[in-house]
Amino acid sequence: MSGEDFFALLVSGLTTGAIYAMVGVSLNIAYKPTNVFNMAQGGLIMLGMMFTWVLLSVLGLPWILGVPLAMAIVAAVGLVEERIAVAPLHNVAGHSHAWVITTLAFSIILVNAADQIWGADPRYVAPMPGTSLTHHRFGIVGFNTAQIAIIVIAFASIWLVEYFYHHTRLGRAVLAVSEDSDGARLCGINPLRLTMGSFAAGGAFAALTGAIASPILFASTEFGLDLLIKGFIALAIGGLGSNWGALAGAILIACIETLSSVYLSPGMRQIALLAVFLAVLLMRPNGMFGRPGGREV
Amino acid sequence: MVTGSFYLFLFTFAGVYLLAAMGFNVLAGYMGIISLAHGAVVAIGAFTTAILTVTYGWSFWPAAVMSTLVGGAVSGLVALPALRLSSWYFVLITIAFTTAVTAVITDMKWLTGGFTGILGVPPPSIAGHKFSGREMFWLVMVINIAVWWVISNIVHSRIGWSLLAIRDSSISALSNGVSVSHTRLFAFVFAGATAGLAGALFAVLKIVVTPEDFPFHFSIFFLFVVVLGGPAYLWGPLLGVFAFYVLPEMLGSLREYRMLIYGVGLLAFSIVLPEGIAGGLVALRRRYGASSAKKQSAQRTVSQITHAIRPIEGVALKVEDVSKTFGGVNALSNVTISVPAGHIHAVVGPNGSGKTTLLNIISGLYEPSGGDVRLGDKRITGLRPHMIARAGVGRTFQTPKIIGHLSVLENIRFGAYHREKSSGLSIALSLPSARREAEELTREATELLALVGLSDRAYDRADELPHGQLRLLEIGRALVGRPRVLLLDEPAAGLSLHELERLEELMIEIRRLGVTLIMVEHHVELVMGVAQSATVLDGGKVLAAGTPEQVFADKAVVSAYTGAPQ
Repeated sequence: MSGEDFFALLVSGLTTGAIYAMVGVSLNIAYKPTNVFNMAQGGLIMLGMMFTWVLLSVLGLPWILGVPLAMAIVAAVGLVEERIAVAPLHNVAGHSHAWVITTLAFSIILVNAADQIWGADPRYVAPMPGTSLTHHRFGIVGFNTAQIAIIVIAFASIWLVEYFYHHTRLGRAVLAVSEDSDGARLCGINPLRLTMGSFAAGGAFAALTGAIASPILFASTEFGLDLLIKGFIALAIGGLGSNWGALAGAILIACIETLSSVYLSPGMRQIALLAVFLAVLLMRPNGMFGRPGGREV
Repeated sequence: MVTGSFYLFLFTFAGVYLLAAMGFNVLAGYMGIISLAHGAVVAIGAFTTAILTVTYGWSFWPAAVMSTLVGGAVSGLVALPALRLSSWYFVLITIAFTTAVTAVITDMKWLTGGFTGILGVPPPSIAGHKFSGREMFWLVMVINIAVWWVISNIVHSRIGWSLLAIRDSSISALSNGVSVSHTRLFAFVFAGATAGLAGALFAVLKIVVTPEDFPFHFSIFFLFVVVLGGPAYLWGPLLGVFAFYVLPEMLGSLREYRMLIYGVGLLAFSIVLPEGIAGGLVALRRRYGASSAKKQSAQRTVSQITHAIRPIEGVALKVEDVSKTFGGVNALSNVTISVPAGHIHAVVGPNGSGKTTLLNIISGLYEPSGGDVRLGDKRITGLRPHMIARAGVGRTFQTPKIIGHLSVLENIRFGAYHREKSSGLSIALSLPSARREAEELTREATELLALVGLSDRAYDRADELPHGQLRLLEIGRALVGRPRVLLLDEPAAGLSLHELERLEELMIEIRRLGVTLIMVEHHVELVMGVAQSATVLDGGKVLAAGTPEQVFADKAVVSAYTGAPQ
């Protein structure tokens, strides 16, 4: 592999990593106050992609209007999910992990409803204004501005989420609930509201992820599952609940994925990724930056 | 009966799916592990048979055996992370595994033919006679009936009960002597073997096997069938396969929306009917049907019953200088307690004084930070909880941990888990030796059921019992394991006056059987009435020890409880 190829793959790995990291962060947002890992998060990202395509490419809305609108729509879908697939479980006795099946079911509904409406064909979405897919070169490093935009937005949005958690009253309330729901209730925090809010916020963040990823991945109803798994692996490696950990884990797996594409077939690449992932988990069940807690691991 | 080749074909396929779904019910229904790799294991089984018969010229029979073995082995490998990680992590790992398997099958052209797959899988034959479509149908049916019979034997035995116990609370499984990791591994291998065998039959029926036959939703299908049919019901997979494979297949127009129906059905059933169709039917029958419970009317006194039970050789228990810290908090510091064989010893103390921590250390759920626990002369410190249970330490819990899905009698019978010597194979095949042993233990369980006073509820579901009776049920379950030391965690909490009398009588009879009893209890009269000795804990330290009269008269004890100055 030449140096040029190496750097091209590295930039592309960083870009993909930035997207995976955003997927992981969107999972974290929904997970924080609820301890529910939303299996439909991939479906929400896919919806974000499709609505971005509808609003920008079909209806011709400007980016600055279309993307927030897509975020609002998917936030509403996230809220609906919380109401019909998560909230009713508080009244159902049985296994504590019933939400695995209900959120998975919601995901199946989302993906297949989208497929009935739009079909599985990939759709082109233009890069965000001010960027393009034109190739630039500095020495042996080649990239395009769309890639740079994705990396910048990923970092900025993760930083914003972290700022929200640590420097606002509401954010600290979410952290308090994730720490000890009953204790937080005694302090006058309403966990129910936060749960609904977190699913909506998780939906909005998922839509943003889909919107910024669609110019390089293309929008397609088939994306959800793969992104869900990559986001999960990034989180599990980085440590569930840790947003910067998600970023580190995401960049690691995206670089493994892109760099190994030179040597391995697609199937073997997936096996290699799975092996690395399981090896990390077996050595550090709480991930690289996760805290060992009262969790059942 | 089966007429027309379309229906013949349809029902044969339904039988293949039922086979795999029954295996999946053992894993997902009985043990509660949600896996989305089951379809991938069927795919591996199908390709194994296709490759062996077409490329290597094997006949169907050895190829099918190989598919079964490969399916079991692959599933066992997938299980390894599940033995350590929490269950929802595992769901995602199986999703990754399934997509990887499909990609690898497509990749390995030299072996699997890539996208085009493998053509011309030959039908099974006996002595040169090739199976027709109708004979294939009967072959599938015979295999299904055999597997159904084996699963029925398993789920009505200690193995099936241990699966449910792990699903509901792995702690209660451990304290009954169940090795959680071995049992989990068994369920995975068993489910994988049925999937592999189903794959072999699938390959023969399809004749052409391609990676596209096993899309991701194939794995979701099995989850769907089990959740809708009724997890942990023998009939569940049959109802599930029939309702949601055969019916939409007949209503051909629905096929396009099948995945949407899966999604809506999964969501609706998990919330409205978590026990599925089978569970719903059973609940209906319970509510409206004639009560079929065989009531045992003969009421005997407690002491009449204990005379029918063989004495147990109790053993002394010594807690020597035991400490336990959680983070920086000392839950127990240098606690020493010595209980002679056959005594009733009470551990009392205010909330948070470390009483339950002490029981958890004795039964191995916590490892002490320092000190030793001895059972007779044997040091049991640091043994795994199921090994301590097998060494003769039984226990009950503050919040009763029972298997709600099973009858009261089955719950008690489960307590004999580690006494049952029959091998898994002889249980699965219901060999006479296994049946005899099971009958003998069930007879003992019936005696103990009478002893704790629950005979009239023997065939009721355990989750229908009121709280007080659950405590008695737990004591019965511990006793059938013939514990040499029995640990009771607040046995009197939440009991009615009548139940309290029963408990007191019961404890005296248990002592007469020879069992050493250690109870954590607040109820002063009960302690005064039955205990020979008592230890008072406060803030993790021994505050006083001696006879109950002595300790309750102790000034320091009075002060700890009432706040009165010493």
